[in-house]
Amino acid sequence: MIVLGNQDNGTRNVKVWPIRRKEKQLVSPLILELPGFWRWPTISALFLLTLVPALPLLTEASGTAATVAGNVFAAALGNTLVVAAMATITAFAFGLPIGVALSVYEFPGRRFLGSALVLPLLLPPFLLALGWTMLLGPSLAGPFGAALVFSVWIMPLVAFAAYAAGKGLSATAIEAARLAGGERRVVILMARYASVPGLAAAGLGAALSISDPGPGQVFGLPTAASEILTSFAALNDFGLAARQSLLVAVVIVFVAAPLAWFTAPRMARALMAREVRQSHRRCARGLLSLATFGLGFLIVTAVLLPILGLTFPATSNGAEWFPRALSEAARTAGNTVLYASGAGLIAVFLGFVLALAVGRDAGRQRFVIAACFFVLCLPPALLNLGLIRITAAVPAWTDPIFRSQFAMCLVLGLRVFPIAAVLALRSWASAAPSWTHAAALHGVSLPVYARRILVPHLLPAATAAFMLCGLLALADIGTALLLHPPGAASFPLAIFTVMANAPEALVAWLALVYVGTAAIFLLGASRLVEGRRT
Amino acid sequence: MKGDGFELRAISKSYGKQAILSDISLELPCGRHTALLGPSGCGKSTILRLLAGIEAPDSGEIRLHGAIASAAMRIVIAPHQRTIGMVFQDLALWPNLVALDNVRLGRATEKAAREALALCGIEALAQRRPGELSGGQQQRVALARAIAAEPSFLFLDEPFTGLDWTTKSALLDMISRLARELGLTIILVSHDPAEVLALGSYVVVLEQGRITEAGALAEVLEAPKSDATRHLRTYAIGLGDTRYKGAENAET
Repeated sequence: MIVLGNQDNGTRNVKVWPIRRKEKQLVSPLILELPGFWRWPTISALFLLTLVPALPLLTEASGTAATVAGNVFAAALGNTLVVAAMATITAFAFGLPIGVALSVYEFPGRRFLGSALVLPLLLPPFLLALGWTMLLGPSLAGPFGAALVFSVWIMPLVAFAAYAAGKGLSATAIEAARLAGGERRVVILMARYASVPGLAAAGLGAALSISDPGPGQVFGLPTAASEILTSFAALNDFGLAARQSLLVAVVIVFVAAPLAWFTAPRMARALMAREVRQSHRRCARGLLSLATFGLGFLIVTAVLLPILGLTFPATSNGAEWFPRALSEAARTAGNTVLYASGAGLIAVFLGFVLALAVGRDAGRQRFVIAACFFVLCLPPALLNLGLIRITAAVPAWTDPIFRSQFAMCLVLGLRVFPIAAVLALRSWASAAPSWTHAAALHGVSLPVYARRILVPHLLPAATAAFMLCGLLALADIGTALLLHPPGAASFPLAIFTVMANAPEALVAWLALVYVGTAAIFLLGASRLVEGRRT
Repeated sequence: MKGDGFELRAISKSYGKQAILSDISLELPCGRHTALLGPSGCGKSTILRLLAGIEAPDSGEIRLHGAIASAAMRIVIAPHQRTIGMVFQDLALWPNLVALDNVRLGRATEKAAREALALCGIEALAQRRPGELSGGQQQRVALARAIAAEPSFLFLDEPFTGLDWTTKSALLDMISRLARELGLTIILVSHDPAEVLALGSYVVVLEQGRITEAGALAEVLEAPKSDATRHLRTYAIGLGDTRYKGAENAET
C-alpha cells in the first residue's frame, strides 16, 4: 500500500467562508465575454448607419427616366477602371516585396524608408499629382500620371498589410523555413503568407482611387468621380449625379464583394492572431542587400520625388507666396482641425463600439472584417449625395445638424469608421479573455475594469485610429467639396479649389505647408503612441 | 457541515457542436484538495470555469454550500460571491498595473494586498509591472491576488506550465504551506504528476468529457484504472521519496 505523507494537508483548520451574497451587486465585466442577444443587432445597426444616408439616392435614381450614363461618363468610367487596374497591379507588385523586406530583413536606412513610406498616406492624392506635374510638366498627363500617383498612394497600404502579416508569423515558422530552404524559402513563405492581406489592401486602394477625383483633375483626365462632381456642381443635375454614383457603386461592389468574401477569413486570422514570439530581423547581405537597396531607391524616388517637385516652384522666385500660404493655412486651420478631430472621434467611437459588439466570436469577426472592407470600398459620393437629398427634404430648423460642420464630421466619420473598427478589433483581440475572467472572479466591477484595465489597453490603438481616420478624412476631397458649409472649407479643400487658377508658387507653398504640418502631426502622435506603449 | 463545498449535478457543456462535458456529477467538499487529471481537451479547465461562475452549464446544476450557484444557462451566484481565488493558466495579470495594484484591484485592501505579497515572498517587488518580473515572480503575484481576498477555495488551472523544476518545486511547497495556514481548499487542474502528488488528496480523471475514475489519491495509486493514474503511480514510485512510505514495496 502506498501511504502519502501529505495526504491530510489542508484538512486541518479548513476555512469555509459563507457565500458573499450581502456584497453589493455589481455589473460584471463578464458581460464583455459572454454571448448576448445585443451583439448582432448592434453590429447591424452600425453598418446600416453607414448605408442609410444613401437610401434616398435609390428612389432618386429609379424615379428618373433619363439614361443611366452618356458616352462621356462611360469613357470616364473606362478611364477610371484602367487607372485603378494599373495602379493596383503596380502597387501590389512593389508593395508586397517592400512589406516582406521590411518585416524580415534589417538593412541600412530601414527605419527611414519605413517612415518615408507613410508619407503618401498623409497626403491627398491630388497633392502628389501636383508634385509630379510640377516636377515633370505635362509629360505625365493622362492615365499614366494618374496611375503613377495612385500606385504610390496604394503601395504603402499593400506594404503595411504585408508587413503586418509578416509580423504575425512566429519566429519558429521563419526559422523552420530558413532551415528547409534558406532565404529563398523564407521569402517565398512570407510572400505567400502576406499575399492575401496585400491583395485586400490593393483592392481597397483601388476602390478608394475610383472615388477620388483629384489626380484626374490635375492630369486632365476625365474620371467617374470628377464627372459626378461636374453633374452635381456644374450641371446642377442631381438625378444624373445620383445615377452615376450608383453605377460606380455597382462596379465597385462587383469587384469588392467577392474580394471581401475571399480575403476576410485570412484577414481575420492575421488580424486576430495572438502575440507570438517574433523573429529577429536578419541583416541582408549580398544579393539581398542589392534587392533591398533597390526597394529603398524605389521608395525614395516614388515618395520623395513628388514632394521635391512641390519645392521647385515654391523656392524659385516664389518665396513671397509663403506668407500668403501660411495665412491661408491659419484661416482654414480651425475647420481643418474640427473636421479631422470630429471625424476621428466619431470613427473611433463607432469602431470601438463595433469591436465590443463583435467580441471574440470568429464568425462575427470574419463577417465584420468583410463588411468593413465592403463599406470602405463604396464610393463616398453615395453617402454625400444621399445626405444632400435628406437635407433638402427636412425642415429648416434641422439646418444646424444637416448643413453644418457637424454633418461634415459625421459623414467623414461614417466614411472612415471601418478603419477604426479594424484597429479596434485587433486591439481587443490582443487582450486576453482571462483578464476579464480574473476581474469578474475578484469582484472588479465593469466600470472599474474599463477604467483601470481596458481603456489603458485600448488607448494606443484608439489614438492611432483617431490620427489615421482624421488624416484620411481630410484627404477625402470629394466629400468636402459636396458637403462643406459656405465659408467653412478645410485646408486641403482650399488648396484643391485654388489650384487651377492660383499662381503655381502659391499652390506649391500651400501643398508644402500641408505636407509639413501633417508630417509634424504624425511624428508627434507616433511618439505619443510609442510612449504609451512603453 | 454537510453540504459544504461544491457539488456538480449532471453537468453538460458544449462549445458550438462540440460536447466538452457530458453528464458530470461530482462533489468537491471543503478541505479535500482535488486534482483534475486527463488529456488535453477533456474538459478539466471547463469544470474549473463552471465552478468559478465564469461560464454557465448547458444543463444540470452546480451547488455551493447547498445553494444553487449555477443552473442551466444561468449563473445564480456571481463569481465574486463564491469565495474563490484562482490562478489562471496564463496568470491573467493585468499588464499595465504594478504587482500591488494587481492584487489590490482584486478586491483587497492595501494592507491585505501587502500581506498577501509578503506571504508569497515578493513584497519587495510590489511596484513592478508584470512585464518586469520573471515567470516565477509572476506566478507569485497571481497567487497573491488569488489569496488576498481570503477565499475558501483556491483554483489552480495548470499554473506552473513553462516553469523550471526548481521554481515549480518552491511554488508547490509555498502553496502547500499557504493552504495549511489559510485553510484553503485546492482544486487543481494539471497534467504534471509532481503537482498532483504535491497538492492533491483526491483525484478525478476525465476522458472525453466524462469522469472515468475518481477516488482518494492513495486508493487511486493502489489500484489505478486509467492511463493517467497508472502514470501517476509509476511517477510516485519512481520518486523514491520518503513521503511515499510504501513506494519501495510497490510493484512497478
